[in-house]
Amino acid sequence: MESNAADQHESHPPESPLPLELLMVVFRFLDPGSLKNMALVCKTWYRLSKDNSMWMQIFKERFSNIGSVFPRVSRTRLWRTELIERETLIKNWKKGKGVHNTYNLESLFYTTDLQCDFKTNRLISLNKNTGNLVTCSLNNGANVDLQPSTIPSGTTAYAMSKHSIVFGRWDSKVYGSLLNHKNILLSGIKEFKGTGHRGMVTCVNVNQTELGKEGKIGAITGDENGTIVGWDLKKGAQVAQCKICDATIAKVDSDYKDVIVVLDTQGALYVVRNMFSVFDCTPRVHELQVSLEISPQNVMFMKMYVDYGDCNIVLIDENAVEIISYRDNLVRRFVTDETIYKSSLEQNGTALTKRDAELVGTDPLFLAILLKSGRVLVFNVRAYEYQIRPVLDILPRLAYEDDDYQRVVAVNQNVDLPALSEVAINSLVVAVGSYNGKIEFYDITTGEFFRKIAIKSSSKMLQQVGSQLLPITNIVMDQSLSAGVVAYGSMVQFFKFGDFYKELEAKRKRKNFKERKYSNNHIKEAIKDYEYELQEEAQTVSRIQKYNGDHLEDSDEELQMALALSMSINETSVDSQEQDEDLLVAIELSKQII
Amino acid sequence: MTERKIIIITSDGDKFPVERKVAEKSILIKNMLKNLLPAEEEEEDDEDEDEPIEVPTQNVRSAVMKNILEWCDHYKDYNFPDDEQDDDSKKSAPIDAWDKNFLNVDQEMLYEIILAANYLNIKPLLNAGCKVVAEMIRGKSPEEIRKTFNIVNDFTPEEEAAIRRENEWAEDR
Repeated sequence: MESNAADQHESHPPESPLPLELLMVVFRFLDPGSLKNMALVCKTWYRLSKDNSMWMQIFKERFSNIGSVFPRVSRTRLWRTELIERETLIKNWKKGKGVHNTYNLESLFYTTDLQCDFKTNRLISLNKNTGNLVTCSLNNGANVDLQPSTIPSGTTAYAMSKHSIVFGRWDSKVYGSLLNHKNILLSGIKEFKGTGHRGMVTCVNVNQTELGKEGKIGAITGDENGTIVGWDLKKGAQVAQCKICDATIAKVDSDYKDVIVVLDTQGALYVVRNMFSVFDCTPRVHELQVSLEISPQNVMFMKMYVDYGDCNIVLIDENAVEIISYRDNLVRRFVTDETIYKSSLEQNGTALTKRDAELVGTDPLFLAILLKSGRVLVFNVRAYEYQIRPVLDILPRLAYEDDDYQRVVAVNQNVDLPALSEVAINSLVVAVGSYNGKIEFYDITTGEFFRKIAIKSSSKMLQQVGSQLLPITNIVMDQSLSAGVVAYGSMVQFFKFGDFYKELEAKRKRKNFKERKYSNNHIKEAIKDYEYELQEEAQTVSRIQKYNGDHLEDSDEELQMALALSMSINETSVDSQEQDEDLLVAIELSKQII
Repeated sequence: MTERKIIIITSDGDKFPVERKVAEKSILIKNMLKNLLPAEEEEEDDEDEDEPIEVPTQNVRSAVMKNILEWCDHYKDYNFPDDEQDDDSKKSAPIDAWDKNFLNVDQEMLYEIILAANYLNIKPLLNAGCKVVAEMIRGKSPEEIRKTFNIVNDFTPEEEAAIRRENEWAEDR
């Protein structure tokens, strides 16, 4: 016995007194910073840092409640990396010191479309009813550049990205412009060259990730006669066209590499391939043999997302979500008895175009829908089961705790507003917004409450709009950091949480510098050419317009449209008298600008 | 009816008589006792009643066992929640003040307590011990960690730089 004990004692050399399996228990309790450092201690610890199955176990112990399918925050196969990044991010979202920069884009009146480029710190905001387009620095609203009335009259469909904006008109013409890298913004809206469309343009889609090289398709439009046209954005010219069907095209979407997905107003879905081929551009159209339950009259108002990484088309109807696999023609459906008010799809870099099931969490794709009661349901678009089931079902506190909303609803029985006005997700967070600048953040896998923020609303602004409830219209979150942007009315707030962000931000800047320098030169050249063309064209157009005297007519028409549209948006306003006055002022202003 | 005595025998032969509920803080001993006493508590005519049960623990020396039993005695009336469920709150919870004080021993002893807790299957003590060790790592540079644990840096400067880069890269993704 005694000798045994002595042996025992000596078998632990003082250098590494803890056996490895106990060291693993110790690692379970480490903070992210130490988890990063541990790899640098010695070779043994370094080897441990590479032990993926051990880290998987540690990860699963630490996050025992998130299951095996979850969106990774790090896009990695390494569990230790995911663990470090997830913990750091969660800490930032929950407790990180907040930076909130609120600015007022008064010239905008209110935002309908918001594009944010977190890497280049640029914000693009459009009011589709006035056509006013504003760009500025994302984090503080500096360097505001306003382009009034950018939308050509007679526009029937439009789409924008960080790089461009494209409009389709009732007379089959397509207009567009680049939105350049700096804050100079527009080189002017010009008519694209091409005669592919024979009727009203009914839908537009723009490549969200990049502008696309010269000669390549960067935007696709569809018309009422079933034709789609691909456009080169840099040259502003048609590249390819394809007759899909005889019905009106309701939706078009593409990965701008291989696949185009088209939905027509009969409810038929088509997958078009080979339209991007440089050598032999003979598109192959394939109609999906699936039976959808959506009613054709809703098609124009539906939302369509396409997951190219896993061949899924997501259609969101008034009260149903339908996921159609174009790989095996399987249709999955989820029906609610409530109206679906908004939806948001996770867009983590390449997540939409690629799927890597080996990634930590098996690389799912999450979709959130916001119901009228404020309930938020999250689905995994890539879940391979016959029935779609929500992976998360929460009722955010804001849905029943928003004082402003409660007060207005209590006074006005006929106010029919959804409890929450906006939902947005990234790989970690569900953000919901309600009225007058209130936002809440929840963990997308566990539903845990992270934090709440409120933008100080100026009562002046509320008066201006003539409403007591001004909904949050847009929330955009950085996909991998604890930061984002919220828009409501003409107010925009940039927020970020935690210090970790600074390090990363600095690093990103350094990294981007080279890229940017390169692409800046590239864009400069393109824009020079483009501007020259534009000048020429603008001169011709203005001459013709002067001659015909239809310039004024156009802008009046435009104002009328703006008026009608704003009226429909402000239906809920309490004091219509006040609102009318405001609109008159707005019209006066835009007249001056024109 | 008196409870049967339990005597724990350490690797160096020392004997520790303990209450059953103290001994049963160790899942290892608890299971052992379950096997030794298959539901016979109720039987009146048990002539062995006075004879104590001896439990040998070959891997623990008496100096360590003394500490372990002190811990078990302190928590004898406390029911630790069954694992898993609230694992989450446990791991983030700071170390219990009493535990912290209790584990304020030299490193050698701390390791031995952790190893014994592992062998005897006393999870709360194992966790507390590991938390203390984690606390010793927290916020320290690799060099400080080496110093704390008396670990020799066996990297070449090139290797160290390479790993540093690798770490940064991981963070940047």
